[in-house]
Amino acid sequence: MSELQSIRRLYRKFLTLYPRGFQERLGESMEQTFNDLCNERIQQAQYRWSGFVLWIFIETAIGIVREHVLIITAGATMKNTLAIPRSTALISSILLTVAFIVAPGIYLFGNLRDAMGPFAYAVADFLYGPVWAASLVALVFMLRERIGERAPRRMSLALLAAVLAAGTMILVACIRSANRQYHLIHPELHLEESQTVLIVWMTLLAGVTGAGWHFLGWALVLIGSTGWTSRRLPPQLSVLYLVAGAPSLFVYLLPELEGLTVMLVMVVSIWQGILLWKGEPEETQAPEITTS
Amino acid sequence: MFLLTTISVADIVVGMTSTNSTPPLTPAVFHILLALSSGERHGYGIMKQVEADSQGKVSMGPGTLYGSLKRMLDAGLVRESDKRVDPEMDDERRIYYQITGAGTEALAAELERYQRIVTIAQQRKLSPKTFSNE
Repeated sequence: MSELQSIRRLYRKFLTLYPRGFQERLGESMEQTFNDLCNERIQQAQYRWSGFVLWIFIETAIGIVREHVLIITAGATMKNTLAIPRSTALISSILLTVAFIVAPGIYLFGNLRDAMGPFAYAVADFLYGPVWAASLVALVFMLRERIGERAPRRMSLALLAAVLAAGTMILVACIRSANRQYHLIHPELHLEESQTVLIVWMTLLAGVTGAGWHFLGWALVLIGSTGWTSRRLPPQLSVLYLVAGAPSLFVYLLPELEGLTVMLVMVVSIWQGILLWKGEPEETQAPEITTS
Repeated sequence: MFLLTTISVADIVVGMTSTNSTPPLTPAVFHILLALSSGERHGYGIMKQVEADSQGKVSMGPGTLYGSLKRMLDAGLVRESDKRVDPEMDDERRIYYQITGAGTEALAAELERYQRIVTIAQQRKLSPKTFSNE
């Protein structure tokens, strides 16, 4: 019996992996049904629990994954289940802007670098890597929650592009960090004087960064077009998204566009962050599903 | 046994937003509607009825059942009835589910579809035994 109680407790805990909305609505009934199935096994004197428990847990695990996938793919229609505080948007946009300003500042300006030593680089990599990535994904995710119901596929693609851009920028930060560590650990190699190392290093970094900008460009263009066609964003902001997205797509060909793109993305990010913080565009209810 | 666990009902039920005619139902949704067509049932009751209707060939786990029920509730095919005690079971109060008008229509359309398929098969003189010797 204690074994059965442990299984029941485990199943109750397992159900908490469902999205919150689903769990609140159907969690209790699911637990009750599981208990009914257990009681049925007891009454039938079927004590081969392993197969039964395995089946139920696997079946429920598939259900849990399915519900989460549906939330991700359904976008705005499931916003209540994955509600994010509005302040997150503003914080994300500020962090994104800070990362854009401070990190290149650290990379470029010798004084700051000398004053803070390698720690400054670590800060820059953290800002221009994980912080930048998390802020971007959070912003696009929130935007998709708000305007995604009019163009769910486009906004899902925009989120995918943002995730790819975020992943690429984290990769850049990792490469920078690894390279720096190697230089510090092996000063006797004088790697900074090697032309070959410099060329390989710059090519690799520029290439991956260009890929990051390219993905970001796709995200911006897709958001801009969704904002324009759905009229859920101010037209000027939609245009700005498109204007920022177009050069971003081609930073890998024309690296000199990077500065302009950074400026445009910062403006877009702050503007969008303020709008989301103010609750604009208006949150909408899930569309009615009719069967007639 | 695992057939229904791998089938998502989301596409079918969500698809109802875009078409006027009732689209085909997934096996899970079809079996749940069929189980509820003869009266209100709670989750476990639905499972047992599905098993009985399919002569034990379809066994639906809680993940499939409640995932389907959620989307059917959202689509208006079923509704939650009151919470009450099942006299044949313990003293726990359970939520009962009942089929709605839209659910009945969807079930009727599905049965009609099956009927048409059977008619076509009969016209072509096809039966389950047709391919048994191949």
